[in-house]
Amino acid sequence: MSNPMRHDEVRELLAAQAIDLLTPDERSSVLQHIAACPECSEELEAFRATAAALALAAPDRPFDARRCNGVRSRLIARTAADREARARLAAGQLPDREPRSLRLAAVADAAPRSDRWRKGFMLLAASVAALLVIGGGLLLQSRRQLAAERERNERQERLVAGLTGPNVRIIELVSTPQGRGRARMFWNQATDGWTLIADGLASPPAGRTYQLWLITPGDRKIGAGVFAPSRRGSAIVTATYALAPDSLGAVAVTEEPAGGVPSPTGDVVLLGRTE
Amino acid sequence: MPAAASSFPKRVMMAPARPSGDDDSALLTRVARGDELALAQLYDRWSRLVFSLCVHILGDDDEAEEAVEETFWQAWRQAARYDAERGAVSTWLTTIARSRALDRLRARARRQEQAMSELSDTSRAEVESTARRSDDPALGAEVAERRALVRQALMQLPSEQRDVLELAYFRGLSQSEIADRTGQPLGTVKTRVRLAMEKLRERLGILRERDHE
Repeated sequence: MSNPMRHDEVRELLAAQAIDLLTPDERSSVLQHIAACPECSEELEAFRATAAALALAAPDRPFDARRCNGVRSRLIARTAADREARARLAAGQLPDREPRSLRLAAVADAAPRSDRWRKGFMLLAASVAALLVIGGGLLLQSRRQLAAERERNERQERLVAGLTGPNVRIIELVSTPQGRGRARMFWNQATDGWTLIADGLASPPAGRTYQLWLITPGDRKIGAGVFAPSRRGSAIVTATYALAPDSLGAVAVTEEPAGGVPSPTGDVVLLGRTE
Repeated sequence: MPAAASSFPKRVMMAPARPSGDDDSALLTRVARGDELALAQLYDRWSRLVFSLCVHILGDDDEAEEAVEETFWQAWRQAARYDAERGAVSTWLTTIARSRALDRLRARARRQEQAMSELSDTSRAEVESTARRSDDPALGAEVAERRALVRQALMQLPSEQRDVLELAYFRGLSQSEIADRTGQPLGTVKTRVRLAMEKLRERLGILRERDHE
């Protein structure tokens, strides 16, 4: 910008600047001028307010409950995870700790693919929210059906409640070289509720199942249920188990004989560490 | 340039609405401190307005839904940057929403150039058909009234000035792109933008002054 714009030239451009219409050169000249000209600065603010009001000219469109609840659930899950990550950073803790045992060390090399994970998780969270709402949208013809739907809705609401709130801690699980997929464990410390949401899982071979484990820092492995993923590779597992806030070292999913085992014997397919 | 231009208060003269505007600022302060439930409350209050804007820009419910999530996620990450002196929280949110939706629109345009003209026609038809709607229960009577006032002010503009503003605000087109699209000389487009913004500011300013009487 060899020649600074004159005051009256700038005034002609303020309306366009307020609505982001200027070329980079024009914009730069205008900003340079208003930094030193309170009159133009004030005028630009008035035009900006006018431009902002244009948002209200968009026709009102209801945000349907399924979509609205889906975004809300995803936002709460994302922000809770973000808050926890920030708290960990503030406490000077690194996201990954040194492995506690050789076995865990062997599987810890699987790199988290946060972007893919995020998309997968968003789809899953959306499907949870969709489940929550589907029942409400159906036309029910009998009281019996109505009662069944109500019960199902309450179950889904409890599920979503288990994922949200200030006492929910989130542990990310990544796949090991022996496994596939990813998962997130939501530990509601206020209710001792555990909700694992997984996707991208392979179907276990015939006669085998997946088993979920809570592993303490002392390497005690607590079975938290067996499960099989859906045909699309997703799964939601809930459990209730009281554990002190500092008594979780890792969460793991192993492949085991159908029916499950009292302590893990098979390959770890998903693993997430705490702290 | 009207002499009254600089006499408007610096604070946003036509904030989208404030069913509880003071609470909005308090909520955003909590968001800045990492309180996700405060974000959820802001979301409950403003997601419909944000969705309406995004779906109008994008013309697609799925993309609008993603833009809404990006908007509130950005609000979460940047809450500390909000400056109450420069406008209401709802204005800040719709400004973010417009940027996120236009980013998506431009990305889509790069992929699929022809989609643009179809969208423009559709959205204009939408504006015309819904301009008379006055019911808006979820956002409350105040928002509905302000919506109606802005739409009314917009409808009072000559159609060529209104078209230029819509292409700029809802389509994110530059002045030369608008000139190409409408077949008007660039100088004419620039004049129309300026005249339209001046008239709109004047009308919305008058409406606000009347509100405060």
